[in-house]
Amino acid sequence: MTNASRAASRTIRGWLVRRSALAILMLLIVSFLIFCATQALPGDVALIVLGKEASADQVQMVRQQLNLDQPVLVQYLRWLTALLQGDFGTSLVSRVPVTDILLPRIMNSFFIVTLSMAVAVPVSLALGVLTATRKDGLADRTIMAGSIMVNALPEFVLGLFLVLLLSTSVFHVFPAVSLLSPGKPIWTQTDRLAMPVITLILLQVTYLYRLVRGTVIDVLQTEYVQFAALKGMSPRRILFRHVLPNALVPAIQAAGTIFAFSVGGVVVIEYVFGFPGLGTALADAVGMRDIPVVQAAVLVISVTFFVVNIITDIVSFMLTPPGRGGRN
Amino acid sequence: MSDKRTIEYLTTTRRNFLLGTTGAVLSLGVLPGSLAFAADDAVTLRVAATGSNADSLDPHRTQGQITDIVRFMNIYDGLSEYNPDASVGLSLAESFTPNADSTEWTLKLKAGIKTHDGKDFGADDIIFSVKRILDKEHPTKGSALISFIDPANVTKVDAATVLFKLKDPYGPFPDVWANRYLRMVPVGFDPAKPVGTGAFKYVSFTPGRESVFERFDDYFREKAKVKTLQIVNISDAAASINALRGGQVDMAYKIPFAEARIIEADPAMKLLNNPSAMAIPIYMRTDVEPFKDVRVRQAFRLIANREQMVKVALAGYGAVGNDVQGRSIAPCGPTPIEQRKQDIAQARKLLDEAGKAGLTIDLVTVNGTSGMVECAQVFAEQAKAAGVTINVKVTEEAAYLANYGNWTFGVDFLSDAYLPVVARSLLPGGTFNTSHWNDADFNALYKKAVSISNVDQRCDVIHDMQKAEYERGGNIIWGFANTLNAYKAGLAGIEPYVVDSPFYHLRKVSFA
Repeated sequence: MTNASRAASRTIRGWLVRRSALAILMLLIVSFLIFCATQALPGDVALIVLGKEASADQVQMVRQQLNLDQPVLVQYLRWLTALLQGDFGTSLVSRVPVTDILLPRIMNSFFIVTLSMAVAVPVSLALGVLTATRKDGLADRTIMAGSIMVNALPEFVLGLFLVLLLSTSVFHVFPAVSLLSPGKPIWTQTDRLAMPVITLILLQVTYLYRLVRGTVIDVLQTEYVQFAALKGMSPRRILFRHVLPNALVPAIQAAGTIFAFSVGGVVVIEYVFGFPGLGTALADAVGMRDIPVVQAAVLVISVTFFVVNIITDIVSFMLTPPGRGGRN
Repeated sequence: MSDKRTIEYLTTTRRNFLLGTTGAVLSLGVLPGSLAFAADDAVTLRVAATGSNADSLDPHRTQGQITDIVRFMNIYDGLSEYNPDASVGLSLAESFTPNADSTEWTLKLKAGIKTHDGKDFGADDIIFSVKRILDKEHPTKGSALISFIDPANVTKVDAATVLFKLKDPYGPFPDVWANRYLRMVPVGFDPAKPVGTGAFKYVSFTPGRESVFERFDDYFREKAKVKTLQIVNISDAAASINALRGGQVDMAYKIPFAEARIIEADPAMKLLNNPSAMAIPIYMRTDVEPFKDVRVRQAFRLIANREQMVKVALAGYGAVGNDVQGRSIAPCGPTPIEQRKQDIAQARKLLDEAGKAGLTIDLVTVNGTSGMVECAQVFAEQAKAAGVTINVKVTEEAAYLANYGNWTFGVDFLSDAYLPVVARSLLPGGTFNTSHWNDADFNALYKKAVSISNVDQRCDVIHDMQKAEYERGGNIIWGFANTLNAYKAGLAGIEPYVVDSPFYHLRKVSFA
């Protein structure tokens, strides 16, 4: 290893340590803010558990059983101490470990998001390059119109439209609802995932490809690309050797954000297809004031954002040319 | 007719003839019975309902989600049960015998009742269940219904007989046990390995996802017609209908009023329109201003255009109410009181007399059952004609519950037969008494009604109670919402229920 590469790896290590420390601090702040937010919401889990029939005594008893009668800070520290020992706590509503509720849903969400991104990223790149090089042509205009239409539709409308098209009314190709058997791993039931995955792919591609298209157009207009063309370099070589690597960085950043968002933020899609994912688990837990489940789900989503950001930052760093903030 | 068209016509009619003949033969039951049964035997009935991660197999300590209720109604039994028309029949009980003043009731169980683990079900199990329901340490939904029972005064007479000694007379004793939250479980019941007496027995359960049960072949009465029952959680109504339409489930519980016409128009699906006893009252707190004054309450009742509310809030799937609880159902039938109609002039006059002309007030509601938000919005519109400004506040469930019982003006929903509804919502101390109504005459009439075991005599008193409600009550009972379910065309044994649901009696369902 040369001195320069050793120095580079030291820099990356230092940067990673700094980012991780910041991330942990950020997670602590997020968890505390979420805890405070759940406290600020009217009503608590004792009322939800007991329902309208509950007498004041019964509510008080359940509050005591669940330690809800203690000061907020005490409750938070109790949760944090357990977390540091690897214990995510127990759901206040169903009285089962939070991990039992969330782990299968986390796996489900990660699986369909990974699957959709594995298709969406290469398709977006191809479409982005294709439409950028044929700017204002028929293909570009058609694809752009289609993409804007898909993006303009609310997620549930798109989902329902696809159900009508592919499951119930026009064709009967895929099951309308993702009724996953809890006993089997999700990857053995891919036929039931088609609808949410197709919906995700459509949403991801229509956003991501426009970003790729925009950056490719920008790069195509730079002086160094025009200079390469004047020098007689082949358009293919210009595109793949000089344009694409430069256009990739914003796309990778966006893909990372889309990935992290899709893991916990596609509640509507999960509802429309009855898909047991992380987003609906979080939404339900907020509705029921099930604080340990809310905390754990938010933590998972935050960590996903953090890890994905680190990865995209590293990839971007590797791709950025030296002299523009990339590696030496 | 051209040759080509003639051939087409003949082909079509030949095909139709063959299909028609086969259909007719099948419908006449000419096929051997064993073959027809084998078809049923082989199938799984798949049911979609709403639940959550808080799903439970415990029939007593439950949050009362639909998935829970459907499950426990099919794996456990009650002592009595609701018939489709809301009359009460006997289930585990062979008989209920009162003493002269209905302060002692002797319960005799049917013979030959077995639990899923092969044991005999008897008096000890009943006493265990009653104590479990009334356990103060672990509040249950059913405890309020039988709070008149002291568990210490429930004694075993013999293996199949139990004696209940009550402090006060209680005439409708056999009826109360039909409630869904009063299921009977065997001694030592463990919800982790649930054992009951019901038509289906436990196979597997994943909270918030699905549960599977199989037919209990030693069931004490006609056993289930399908071999396996699968209950899947689908929260979203549209997803539930799509699953039905796509053939992933056979029955779907949650059908919003807005989707009903679509299902009715689809030949592959059937809509089940249950004329349920569910009222969606707009309640007015009778103990605080401005509703302390009965004239204001009556004025608000006169503002309601009930037909319009049923038409808009329930999409027509319901019946107009007359400010009295309990839809006109068994056993007492219609109430002989004139139907209250919208009368804006009279409403204005009453408000003027009460000094409350031009009143402005918040109406609190929640996205609970279909119609709860819509009825508030329609009523607010109607109130403008009487110079009343109503601000509809749609709250989140937890926020609504946080102040439940204290809102001055709000919307609620209640579904039960008349006397249980009264006990819970029209008497002082009732947990659903959102109007805080405490009317001495009405309370006395209730006491009298529950002391009578003769149904006709009790109904006379009930009619007097309804008259009091109509004249001075705190609820605008503008309508009763039907409960809508849907199922795949071709299923048999499904009929509409007033208090219960066909989903609570899945042993009767078969693939015809």
